[in-house]
Amino acid sequence: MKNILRSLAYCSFRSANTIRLSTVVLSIVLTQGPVVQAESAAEKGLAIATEADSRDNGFGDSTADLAMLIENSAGEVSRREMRQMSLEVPTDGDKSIMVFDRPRDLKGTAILTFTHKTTPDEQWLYLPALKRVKRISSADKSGPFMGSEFAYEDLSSQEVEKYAYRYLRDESLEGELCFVVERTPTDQNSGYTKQIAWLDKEEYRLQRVDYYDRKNTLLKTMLTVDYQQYLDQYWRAQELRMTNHQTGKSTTLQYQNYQFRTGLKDSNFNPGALSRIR
Amino acid sequence: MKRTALSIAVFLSALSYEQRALSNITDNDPIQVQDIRVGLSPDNTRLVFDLSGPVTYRLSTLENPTRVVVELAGGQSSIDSSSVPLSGTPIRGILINSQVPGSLRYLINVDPGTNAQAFVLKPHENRGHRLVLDLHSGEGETLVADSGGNRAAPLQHATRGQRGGPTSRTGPPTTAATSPSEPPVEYTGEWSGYVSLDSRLFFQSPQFPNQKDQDFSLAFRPEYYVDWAGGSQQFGFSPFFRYDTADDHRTHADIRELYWRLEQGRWAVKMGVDVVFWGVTESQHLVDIINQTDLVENIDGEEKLGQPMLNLDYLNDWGNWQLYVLPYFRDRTFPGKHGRLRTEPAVDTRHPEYESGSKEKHVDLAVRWSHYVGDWDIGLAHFSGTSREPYLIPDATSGQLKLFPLYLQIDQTSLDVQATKGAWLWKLEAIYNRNTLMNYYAYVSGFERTSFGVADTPADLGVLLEYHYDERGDEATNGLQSDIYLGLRLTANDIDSTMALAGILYDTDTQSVFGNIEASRRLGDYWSLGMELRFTTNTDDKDNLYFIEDDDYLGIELTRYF
Repeated sequence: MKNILRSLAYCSFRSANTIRLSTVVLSIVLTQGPVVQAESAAEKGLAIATEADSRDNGFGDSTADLAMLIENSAGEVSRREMRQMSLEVPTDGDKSIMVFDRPRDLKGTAILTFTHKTTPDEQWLYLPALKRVKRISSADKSGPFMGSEFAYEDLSSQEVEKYAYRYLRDESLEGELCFVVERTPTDQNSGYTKQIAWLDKEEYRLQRVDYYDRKNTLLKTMLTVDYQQYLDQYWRAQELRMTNHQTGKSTTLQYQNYQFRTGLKDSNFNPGALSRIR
Repeated sequence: MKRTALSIAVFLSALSYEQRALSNITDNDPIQVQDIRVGLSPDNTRLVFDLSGPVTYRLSTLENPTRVVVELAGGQSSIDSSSVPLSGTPIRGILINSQVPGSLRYLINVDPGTNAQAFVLKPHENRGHRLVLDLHSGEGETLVADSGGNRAAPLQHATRGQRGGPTSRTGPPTTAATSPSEPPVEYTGEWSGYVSLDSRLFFQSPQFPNQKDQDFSLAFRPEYYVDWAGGSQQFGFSPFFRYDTADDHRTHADIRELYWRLEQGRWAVKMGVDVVFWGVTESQHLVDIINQTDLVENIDGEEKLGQPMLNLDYLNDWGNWQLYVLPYFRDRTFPGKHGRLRTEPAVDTRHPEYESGSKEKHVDLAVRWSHYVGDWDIGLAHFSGTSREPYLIPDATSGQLKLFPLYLQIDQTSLDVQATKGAWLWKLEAIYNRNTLMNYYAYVSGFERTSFGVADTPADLGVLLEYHYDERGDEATNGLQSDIYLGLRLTANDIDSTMALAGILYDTDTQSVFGNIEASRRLGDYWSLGMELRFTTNTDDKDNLYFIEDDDYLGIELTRYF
């Protein structure tokens, strides 16, 4: 029970420091044909990730209700319900709180996460039965979240700095023209050797990710469904579908009732305030 | 705004092939959804949307999970979709998404295999424009609402914006406004809790007269919670009841929570009864002092009695500052003469002794500062008042040996620290206790190291090692004067949250051993099964464990949450 964070429902690579740089790079890409040839695949991959991240700048804070439908290979479905609060931290990774509502034995359990760009994330767990706030290790990247097909690292805030990038190609995905970018996790605790990500060229939204395990075999595919735009800028998928190709299991994560700029403050995302969250 | 214009254009072009009704929609004149009505027949559920005018709509479905999507061009909702009674329908929830400019989308979660058809009706008699959605369940599937009751689960959450969150939600609501026929929903109280049935099977014959080999027990812990004023005011109530077949002292009731709390920015004030936890270590909770231990519940000391309090919290950049005024003392529960896991004679809890003349009405005070700095979590606290941990005083003046609990007045300063270094958690709890009998210090310190994903499985395996020291030596009330705890924690990370913790506590002075194995897993969405196995070996009569040396037991607990 850890590392659940702000929705991966959109591409949230964020880095305030590199926005200006990426804008320059992109304008070169768009306006000066010959330079495209000179730009390496790594530079272009990074530029795409940075642009996707910068498009999510300024959302402030958000809340959403989540339902997680975990399906085993026999087709039996278990339902989890959570609420999520996220706070944008302009100079670092975001802060988030996930509160569980179902199953009932986990009701009130909460996870507070501070994501960091380059240093390890920080996490606290609130256990309502004991009223105990407990700092927990964030070293577990690759373990399953709540027995689902989502690993903790799939759900954590996707900072630009957490991967090395390589642009592969343009490709049409269900009628939408996409950049295809390979991302290699920089954290050695990651359970993946690489990820292949599809981002649509129009809005830089994550459309699909293929995850390759430590043996470099295709492990999982995540598809994003039903993007909606909020505050005329921020795109959030209403659904993430993760399918494990090796086990046949799948998990659907549904987001409902997104709200932005709700007035959450930094003091709400504090281990000292975690026991007050209901 | 270019993007908005574009998305409307895309939306309208998408409509062209699904258009069933045309109307004169202008941006200035949105179509209001005034009501949603539900009609039910054995093989058909009908949703009727009452509209303020003619509408252009689009019907589509999404699979996995099955959803029917109804989009109304130029639509606006003026009702709360959560007020629609869905009991007995294949509908699991109705969600409104009005984020696409110029469009109102209903996402209707339905049972798999449900087919949908829609058509519009023109005004007739006293009815206005309507959109009718018929849902047919496939192949005789039973029409059952979500087990949650009248409303399906996702819906409850869709309306939750007015509840929950740590601060008031000032942003514009993205879901439907409240139905005009009802007052705004301010209070959204909720009951939850559990009922559990448990049994403890003792392996040995009782050591003392009157004790039983086995007990059955039923516990009930409902919990009510409500907040209002955007979540800044909260009320909680949680009583606890237990009936035990063997021990009339274990049959008891308590109020674990009964409080009102007000949050104002960085301040929070709480009045009433609650439970507060301090500390970081696993095998003893040395610095945890606000609440009394409900010892008849479990000898691990983790169950607490509700403590009456006035509590003030202040949070700033230098940490979390807490003040507690504790006007009434709760004395510890002890097993009765029929119970196991007790002293001989059983502690006489009818006449507790106090050092303070105010007895249980002595007003205790506590302050605590806690903060995190990088990898470090630090807590510093001071408590002044009645000790939660009694000395047990033998008394034979009546001709019969009795044990009375004696509660001293103490001043206890405590420190708790955890350093989180990757997979390693380093922990320390230390106290210095001043009292009229014997000043002393004590500490518990150690680590927990977790290996994630052991043996190519999703499971985590943790190793715990903690050392306990108490300056009082043999006089230590908890017997942890020089003990080592070694434990293994297995977390399966499976869908049932299966976990197990096995550990032994070894007394370096007497070489006695206390063993503890706990395991639990969920059974479906509402049940869980827990077990604990506890045993002692190599005890001697100088040791606290002597009294429970014949009380090895297996406890099994089945819990139903609601």
